[in-house]
Formats: sequence, structure tokens, C-alpha cells
Amino acid sequence: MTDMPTEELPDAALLASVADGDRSGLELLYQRHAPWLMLRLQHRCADPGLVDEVVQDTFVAVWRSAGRYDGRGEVAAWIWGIGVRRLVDGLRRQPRRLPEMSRRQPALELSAEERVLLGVEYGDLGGALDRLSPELHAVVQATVLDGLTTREAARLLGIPQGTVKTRMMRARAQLREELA
Amino acid sequence: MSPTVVVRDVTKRFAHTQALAGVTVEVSTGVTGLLGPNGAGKTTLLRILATVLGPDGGSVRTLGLDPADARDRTRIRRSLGYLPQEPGFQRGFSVFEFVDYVAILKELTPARRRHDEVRRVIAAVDLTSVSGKRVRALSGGMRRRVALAAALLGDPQLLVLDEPTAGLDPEQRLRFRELVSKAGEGRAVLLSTHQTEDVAALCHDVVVLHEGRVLFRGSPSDLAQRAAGHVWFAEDRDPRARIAWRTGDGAHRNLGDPPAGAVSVTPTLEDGYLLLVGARDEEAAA
Amino acid sequence: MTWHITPELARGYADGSAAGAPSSSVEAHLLACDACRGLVASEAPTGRLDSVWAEIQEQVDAPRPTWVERLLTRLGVSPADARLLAAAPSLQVSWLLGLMAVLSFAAAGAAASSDERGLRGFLLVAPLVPVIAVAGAYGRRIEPTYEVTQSTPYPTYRLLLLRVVAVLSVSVALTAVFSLFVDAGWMAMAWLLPSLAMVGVVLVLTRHMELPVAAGSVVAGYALAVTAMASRNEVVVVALAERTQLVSLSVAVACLAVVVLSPARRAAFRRFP
Repeated sequence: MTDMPTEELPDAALLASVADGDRSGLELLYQRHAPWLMLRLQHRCADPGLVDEVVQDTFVAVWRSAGRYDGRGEVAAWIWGIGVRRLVDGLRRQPRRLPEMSRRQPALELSAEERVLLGVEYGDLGGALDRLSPELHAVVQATVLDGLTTREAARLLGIPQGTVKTRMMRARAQLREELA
Repeated sequence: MSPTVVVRDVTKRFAHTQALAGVTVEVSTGVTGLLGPNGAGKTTLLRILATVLGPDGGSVRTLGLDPADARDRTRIRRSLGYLPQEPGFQRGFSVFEFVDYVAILKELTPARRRHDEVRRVIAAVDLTSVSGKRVRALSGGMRRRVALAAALLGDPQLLVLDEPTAGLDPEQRLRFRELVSKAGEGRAVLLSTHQTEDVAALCHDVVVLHEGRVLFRGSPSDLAQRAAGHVWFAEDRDPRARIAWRTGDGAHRNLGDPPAGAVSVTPTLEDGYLLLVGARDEEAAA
Repeated sequence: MTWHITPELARGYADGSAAGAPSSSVEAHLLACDACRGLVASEAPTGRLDSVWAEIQEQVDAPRPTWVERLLTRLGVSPADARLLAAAPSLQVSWLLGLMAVLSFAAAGAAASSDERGLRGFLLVAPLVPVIAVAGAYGRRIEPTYEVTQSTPYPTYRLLLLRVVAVLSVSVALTAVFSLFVDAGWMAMAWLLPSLAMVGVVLVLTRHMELPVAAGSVVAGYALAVTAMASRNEVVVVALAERTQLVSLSVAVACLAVVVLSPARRAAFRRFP
């Protein structure tokens, strides 16, 4: 048992206490993670009703399955894994609107901070990623960054699996070309 | 402000004992302590005030209502919280489920608002972190807190607590006192105990009960003052003392009529209480 | 971590104006950085977050109904009442298992013996099962929360009666199931009316004494009657006799009328939302 007050506990320890039935631990996890989760889900699905439902189901699932977190990787990533899969399930039951693809011109409008962050998170890949068209980026985001299978990505984006595969091939080809 | 509870000349007899022999007491807002040895009638009086028992004689008025009348009794119960001496819990119930069960008995509906109220009282006694745990799996001190949470449901105007700190270790007792003190803000709390420290720490009013009769009603400092000039220290137990005991540092604290030259010490609540009850015991024996 | 999200970037991410790769890098960063999560949180819709939390609390806290409660709600009992009824001690698994054990012995004995003795054994024991179950419905020594329950506004007689009805239904159904194994056709159900009569007497007695005492007196009376009959080996005959059945029926109905129609108790049936 740690001596730290609950508010300062790291996520993994907090999750362990939630597994033990600590309701106030769940509330703290919610305060830390629900905001970004809601925003991130909103970036993949424009329907706020479904997004709210998914956030709710995710944290109820966190409460019920906190013991199954294996300690590997960030708790945030584990939570995202639960959340994005629930979103895919929700979209399967009833397809909803996807957010409007931004018409921002790739590369030209990156601010200084954005450029640096891209570099920090993705290195050389960052710039190349940015130059992908919105549809290719969406596919890369779904499969590579969100960790979905081809089928799940197809459901999320509302396109056939074949299209997911071809777009992935095009994205890979473009990135390879850029980085060569 | 009129007192919350007015008890006049209440008597109660069980098979072979006269539990209460004419008790007159008033309880108002704040924490009132009911002090007395085992068998003094504290539990009986509390059960009468909690409308679990009816008196044989005398009258009781709670919140201006008469518990002998069925309709008044139900109205009193809506503003009443009771923590019995041995609180019981259903097997297998979690903290939340138990408090929710009592909330149903207190007729708090609909379910959503009831659950919010359950969460509120569980948070008030600081048990949110274990609200999903089985009550029977918790320590004695925590179980008492669960029972206290249930008593706080519906924000009652009268709280009746029967020996709530019995069997708790010092740390648990301190925590419980804090909760009771907070609970006493804005409502009348009547708590029975045979620990004088509880009364000294918490109560603005104290009633001493002994063999079914009220020996004292007043403030804790008045009770302590009763022993003024009757408490002194000596190397050994003074044979003239009515009551004496060995203190931690080896000297003896004596209560009674001090000999000439003895240096009196400031009396505590306990001194006042022991002297009062001891005198009564002597009278009875004589 | 040397680089963090700036407030502008956080805002851009939150309102969706930073799409594509920058948004992905924000998301990647947030997976690992608690401070920036806090920064982004201030841009998130707090109203929606609060109402979602209220729903989560409700789902996580709300007690899950037991099988007894689900059965009761399906029969039209309100969920709150169902909670109160299902908490009856004699509806808990341990009691039910105990009663089933008794019934299995009696039924096994009856099934095993080919003559009347088996049936007699069963008919001796079976009527007591509902009575014992009813004794475990509510009472000072039986109910763990007795004292607190007495101090609440919920009418205790209503609680007692509702619990008795629930317990009676379950125990009668249980005993009826075991009657099937006795292989004596409808004669194996001869215990039903005498049993209901005894429960009726118990309920009438609870107006003057506590439930366990009432049940104990009735069981004692029954034991005396049975001993008297057993010495004359008349048990089965008496039990099946039309007269016994009719008398039992009348007693049961009379007790029910007394219990339901007495004015003091009618107040106990007031409903609340």
C-alpha cells in the first residue's frame, strides 16, 4: 500500500486500486483520462451522442476489467484500446457521420510548434505523414496509430475493407518514396 | 428555540427490572451525551427515542410530535436516524447496497435520487473508496461508519447513536468523533457512551443516567465542577478516598473528601462523573 | 520529455482545426504525458463530461438485482419492494438449501418405501416446510437490520406480510416440486391446505407475539397432534380425509380474512411511489 495521497498516484497504481473496488480511484481516472478520450473519439466520429455513450461504456469497462490490465504500456493506451473498439462496435450497429476532413493544405500551414511536435513524435516520418492526403492519413491513423485491424478500420471509416488495403498500400508507397 | 426532544417522567419496566424510573430530559440542537454505567437504562431510553420501543408511563415529544400516535410516529421516523448498539448487516451486501436498502426503508424514491443520496452519505463518512466492498468484510470501525451513513440518510433532524465508539481503537474513535461532531451541526444528536472522553470532546450537554434515574443534567464543565475540591494526588491510595486509582506516573488520584493539607487538582469530567455515580452506589448500599 | 503541447496547439486540437498529422502527434503525445492531458482537459466539453460521469456512477453503483428480485419484478412488484422482500433470510441460498435437504430426505424416504410409511413420512414433514420458511421471513432474532428497520417510516407490518407472501410462494413451489418425486399422484399434495392453515394461524398470532414465537407455537401444536395420531397409526388416513382438507381450507381463509380485513392492518397496505 502506497503512502502517497490518491491524487498523486501514478495511473497503474490507481488502476490497481480500482481493481480492488475503489470507487474514488475510478473518479480520479475519469478526471484524468475522460477529457482527452472524448476529444480523440470526437475526431473520429462527429456524433456527440455516440461519443458520450462510448466514453461511458469505456469507463464502466475500466471499472469491471481493471484487473486485466497487464502492466505493459501506458494505462492511457489501454484505455484508448477499449474506447476505440467500443466506437467501432457502436458504428457497426448504426453507422454515423464522420467528421469533415480538414481542407488544410498539407505542410504549408504547419506552425512552428506543430512542426517540432511532429518531429518529436515521429521523427523524419512526421513531415512525410503530414504530406499524406486526408484520406490516406485517416487510414494510416486508424490502422497504425489507433491499432485497429483492417476490418475495424473499414467500419470506423465507413469504407470497404478493400479500399482500406489499397489506401494503405498507397500511403506506404508514398512514405517510402519520401523517406528514400 | 424549542428543544428537539422533550422527555417527561418516562418509565419502562422489563420482566424483572425497572429499566427507567422516571426520566426527564431535553435534547436540543448539537451533541448531547448520555453517560452511565452498564444497565443504567441508556439503551432503553435511546430505543424509546428511536420509536423502537414505547414507554410504560410518562410522555415523549419529538419534534413536537407524539410517538404514541401512529401517524405522528411515522412522521417522526422520517426525520430520525438511529445507530443501534449492535448494527446488523445482511450477508453479502456491499456498503452501497446496505445503505441503499435502508434508504428504501426510509422511503427515499425514485431510484436515481435515492442513489445520489446514498452516495452523499457514504462520502460524508469517507467510505467512497470501499463502497463496493462487502460490509461484513470490513473492520468494526468501518462497519460503524456504514451504519452511521445509513442513519444520516434523508438529513434527519434527530440522530440517536447507541454507544457508537464502543470497541473502537483510539484512532478509529477519534475519526468517529469527528464525524459525529460534524453531524451535530444543525441537528440534535443524542449519543450514549460510558467513555467520559467522548463526552468531554464532543458534547455541549450531558445527562448522567444511573439505575434508570437522571443524576445530572447540564454542561460537561458543570459536571466536572461538581468534583472541585474533591480531587487530590497522593503517593498511595488514600484510605479516606471514596475512589482512587493509580495513574501512569505512579501517583494515585483520589476522589472524595480530601484530608487537610492535600493539594486539590483541577477536576475532570471523569472525576465529576465517578464521584456522582459512586455516591449513588454508596447510598444504594446503605 | 522535453517538448510539450502549447495552449494554442491544445485549442487547435480541441476545436478540430488542427487536423491530419499534427493532430496525430498531439494524440500520440497525450498517451504518455499527464501534464498535457490536463492542459487539453481544460478545452474539453465539461458539461458532457459531467453528465457522462453521472451515468457511469449510476451504472457502477446500482445494486444488481438477484434472481429473486428479477422474479418479483416480473410479477409486478416494484424494484424497491423487491429489494426489501429478497432480503428475507429464508430466501437466502443457505435456507433454501436446508429446506431442500429436508425435503429430499422425506421424498427419498417416500420414494424408496413401497408402502404407506413412505408417504406418511413425507406428509408429516412437508406441511412444516412453508411454516419454517415463514418463520425465517422477519423477526428480531432473524433479521439482521431489525432495530434499524423498526425505526424507519416503512410500515413494518407491510414488510412482514409481503415477505411472508414471497417466502410462502417460494417454499410451497419447492415443496410441490418434491411432491412429484413421491409418486403418489395428487395425494402427495395433501400437505398443502394444512400447511396454509398453519401459516394463517401463525400470521394471526403475529398480531400478539413475535413471528418466531408464533411459528414455534404452531409447530409445537402440530407436533402434539401428530404424536397423538401416530400412536394410532392414523396419519395418512387423517391427512387425506376430506374433513381435514376442508377444515384446513376454512382455517386458512378465516385467518387470511382476519389479517387482511382488520382495520389497523389496512393502513399497512398504503402504497408509496
